[in-house]
Amino acid sequence: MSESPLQGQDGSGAPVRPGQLTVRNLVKTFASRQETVQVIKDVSFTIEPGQFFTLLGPSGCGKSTTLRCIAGLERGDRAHIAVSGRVLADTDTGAFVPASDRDFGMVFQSYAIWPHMTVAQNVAFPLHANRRRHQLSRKEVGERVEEALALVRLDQFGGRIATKLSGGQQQRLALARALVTRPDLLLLDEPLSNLDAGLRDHMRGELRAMQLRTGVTTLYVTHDQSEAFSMSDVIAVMDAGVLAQQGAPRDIYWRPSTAFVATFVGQTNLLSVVRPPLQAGSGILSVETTIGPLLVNVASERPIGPGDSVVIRPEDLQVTREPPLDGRANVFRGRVRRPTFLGENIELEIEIGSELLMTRQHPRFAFGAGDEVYVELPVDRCVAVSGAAAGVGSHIRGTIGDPAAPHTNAAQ
Amino acid sequence: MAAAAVLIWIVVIPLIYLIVFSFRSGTAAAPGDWTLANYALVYTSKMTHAALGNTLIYTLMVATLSMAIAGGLAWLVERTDMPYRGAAWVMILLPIAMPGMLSSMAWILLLGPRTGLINVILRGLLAPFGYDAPSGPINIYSMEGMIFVESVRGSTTLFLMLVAGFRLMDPALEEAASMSGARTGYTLRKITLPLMLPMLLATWMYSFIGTLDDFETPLLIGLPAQIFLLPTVIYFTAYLSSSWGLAAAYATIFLLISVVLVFVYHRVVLRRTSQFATVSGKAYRPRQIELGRMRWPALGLVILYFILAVMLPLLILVLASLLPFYRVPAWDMFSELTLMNYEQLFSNTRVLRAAGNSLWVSFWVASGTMILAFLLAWVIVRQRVPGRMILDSIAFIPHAIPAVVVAVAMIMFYLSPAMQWTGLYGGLIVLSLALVTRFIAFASRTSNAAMTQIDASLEEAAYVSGARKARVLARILFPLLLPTFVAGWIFVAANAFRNLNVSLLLSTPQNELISVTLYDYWERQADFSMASALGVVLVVGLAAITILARQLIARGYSGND
Ligand SMILES: Nc1ncnc2c1ncn2[C@@H]1O[C@H](COP(=O)(O)OP(=O)(O)OP(=O)(O)O)[C@@H](O)[C@H]1O
Ligand SMILES: [Mg+2]
Repeated sequence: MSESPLQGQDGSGAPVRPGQLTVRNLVKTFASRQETVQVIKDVSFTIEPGQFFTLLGPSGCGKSTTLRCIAGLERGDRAHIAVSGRVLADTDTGAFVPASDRDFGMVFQSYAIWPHMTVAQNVAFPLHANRRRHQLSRKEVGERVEEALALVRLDQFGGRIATKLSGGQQQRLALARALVTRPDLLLLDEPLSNLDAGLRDHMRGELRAMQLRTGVTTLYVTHDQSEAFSMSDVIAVMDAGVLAQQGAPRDIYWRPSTAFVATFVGQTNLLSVVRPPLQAGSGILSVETTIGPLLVNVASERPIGPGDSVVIRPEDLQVTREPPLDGRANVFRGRVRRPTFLGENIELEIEIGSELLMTRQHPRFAFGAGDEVYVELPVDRCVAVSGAAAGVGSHIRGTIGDPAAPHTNAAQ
Repeated sequence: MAAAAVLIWIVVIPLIYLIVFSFRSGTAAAPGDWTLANYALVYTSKMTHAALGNTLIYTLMVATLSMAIAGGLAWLVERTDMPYRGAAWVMILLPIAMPGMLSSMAWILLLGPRTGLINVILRGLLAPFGYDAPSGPINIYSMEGMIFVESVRGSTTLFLMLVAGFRLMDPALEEAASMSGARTGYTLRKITLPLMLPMLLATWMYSFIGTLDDFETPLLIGLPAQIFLLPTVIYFTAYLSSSWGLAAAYATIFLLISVVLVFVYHRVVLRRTSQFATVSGKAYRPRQIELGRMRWPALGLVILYFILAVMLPLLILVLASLLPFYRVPAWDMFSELTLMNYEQLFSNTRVLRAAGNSLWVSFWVASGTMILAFLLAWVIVRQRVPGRMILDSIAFIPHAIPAVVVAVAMIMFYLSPAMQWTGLYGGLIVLSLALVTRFIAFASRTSNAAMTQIDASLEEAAYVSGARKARVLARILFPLLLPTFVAGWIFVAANAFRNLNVSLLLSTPQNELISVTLYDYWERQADFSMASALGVVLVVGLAAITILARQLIARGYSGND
């Protein structure tokens, strides 16, 4: 690890800079001539110092708006926003610190590199604009610019006209500009979405490495789940202006609390709950679903009942030709409908009763269409969630006779 | 190739003839010996120096002032939270329907030194303080007067260009400055203005070139005050003192200046602008700057502009048109108001004939210009024939020819011994050709842009289906381009109808257009009331056409039903 002065670490290794962000009861409405839309409906969360926190959600759910309210580029209708204990906006007291006085770094989706300045001038701008607050001499400004450019490995490019940089370089320049004042908080709005796929994967790693090195508290906005999973300490999934769930990446994936979260991150099987649960005990429920009774885990705090669902990821289904040992729960007989060989795995649709479940298995299992199989839904992998499937996400649902599912096996 | 021939016939040959003629003595009908005397005269004449100086001051001041007005208005409407911005839009755009000749006339009626309404009122107000001169205090017949009238009138087009320019800027560029700690003023100075600078410069230069070509204000206000500008010098020498060789020399010099400026504008300034274009996919407007207590005063400025640009001129014209004879306005004249002038207008054979001429000319000029422009665009954009780049340049030349130069060149060419036998001079045909030359630059730029938008594969699919060229043109391209064609047609027709700068020089009793009749009533017969009545009818007609055109175009784009 380099000895970067931006590192923000003292001898003990604990972050020197406080950087806790608190957002409480954020509400934001946009009014146009025709209608008013409440885009953010009471969002609250806290980001701990040094955390990489990601707002993940589908397009139009209000991620950017949330970020812009925190940045001070929009004013919430209701909000309490504080960073490191300093109140930046509070609609109860009327306090509002304008964006220019918040001392945050921000990377825009379009990078917003000023085309009339060189690379170095772009980076120096925040230091000049803030001269009084930062108390820097001309020489110190130069040093800080050098340092920030070195951090993103653009130190050779200081004299270039900024728009002559490639997409990835512009992205790094935007990052250097956001970090040059050593802000308490770094805000990123889909910074990678304008890059091509290869570069995007690479920048993901770079960005996370940089964040770890500087220790800056980071709020990252994206609609791309793999970005969110690969970089974040904490993910908050947003849906239509509310936070649906917040947690570590693994929890979001394996323990979704709503059907929306389950279907938005990754593929999943959804089974409808048809009757209220019979018995409860130590986080495990027995629920009646469309394929029969299931023992499941509960992540939701709300009581589960009809209209809710049970989710299980495709890779978690155990498929065998022989019946599993006696005493195993959640075992069903099914018939293979559509095997698709994909190389690294084999994708199967399995018909159980009137439901179709989707699964991925090791490719050495040579299942054919029409094969009778046993399917086990491991109890610790079945999660009861509130809500049913909506139109979004890539969940698998389908019933026999569904015209959308072609009967490929019929021909065989 | 026929299109190319027409283009050369109406643009290149008259210009060459003009330049050649500037080196000869004699009259247009009977050229004399080769000589440099014309240029010697131009060089030594006091009038030349005065005209060059006046033209420079006039164009510089008008370009700068109308930029300032348009820039202020565009900023208020686009970037601030001024109230009633929707209504402000309409107020700012309305002056488009007002021909330059009419706003000059209206301001003469308002600010004429003796009888101008505002002067009369001001004298009344100033009398208690010892002001008892019979004229003044403001004199419209001055350089300041010309600059004022033209700056107010010229702002509308610039306003539209500036608004478009503002919208090209990615709002994130300013937001990034805010996030960097820059306050509003600092951001304006360090980010917004430098980013806008190329666009502002381009708009300024556009305005400069347009003002250079302006004929109506110098004619109506400048000429009576003996303030000559290049266009009026040419008009004066050619038309009023019949020194054709001299006029040709002036015109050649004017042409040179204009060509250089237009070249710089297109090849240097516009290129620079596109470098900074920073469009992003974001649909939302940038943040609006909060004006606070200045919100209502800001709206007041827009209303003031509206009053100066449209309301006062229109009111005075209507008032004048309702008076039997124009005289110094006073309270008692309200009893005399009459529709007599309008009645006379609609029963006057000269007016009716001129209106008929104008309609005929507008129709054929618009049709001819648009068809020519489309054929040219097709050749330039689509065909791979050699020489199409030369065609493109030729189609571009009219951009740079001042209207007065077009007129003088056409006169000389059709009066020349080579063309005299055709007897075309003095008829509507030469006038129409001159107007086509005038508008072909605009039309061909629009058509080229539209043609570029249409994917070549749409045509190729037709060729592959077995269609020949003519069929592809008629059945594929023409229908696709129809909305552009209609919009361009209406624009050209409306502008041909109100044109004065080409038609006045080319006019004879046989081919008089309505705009010339209007000028004649005003200038030679000094019948201000009749002129005003005709002007009011013209404005109403033009406004109606503009609104109709908007709706036609809107329907044309909204669906292919
Ligand atoms: N300035 C605005 N005026 C009106 N509506 C707006 C404005 N900004 C955002 N919206 C609306 O608010 C909603 C949320 O917008 P936002 O930009 O926060 O979405 P997002 O989650 O960032 O989506 P994306 O992933 O597409 O960027 C959208 O429906 C959008 O149309
Ligand atoms: Mg967004």
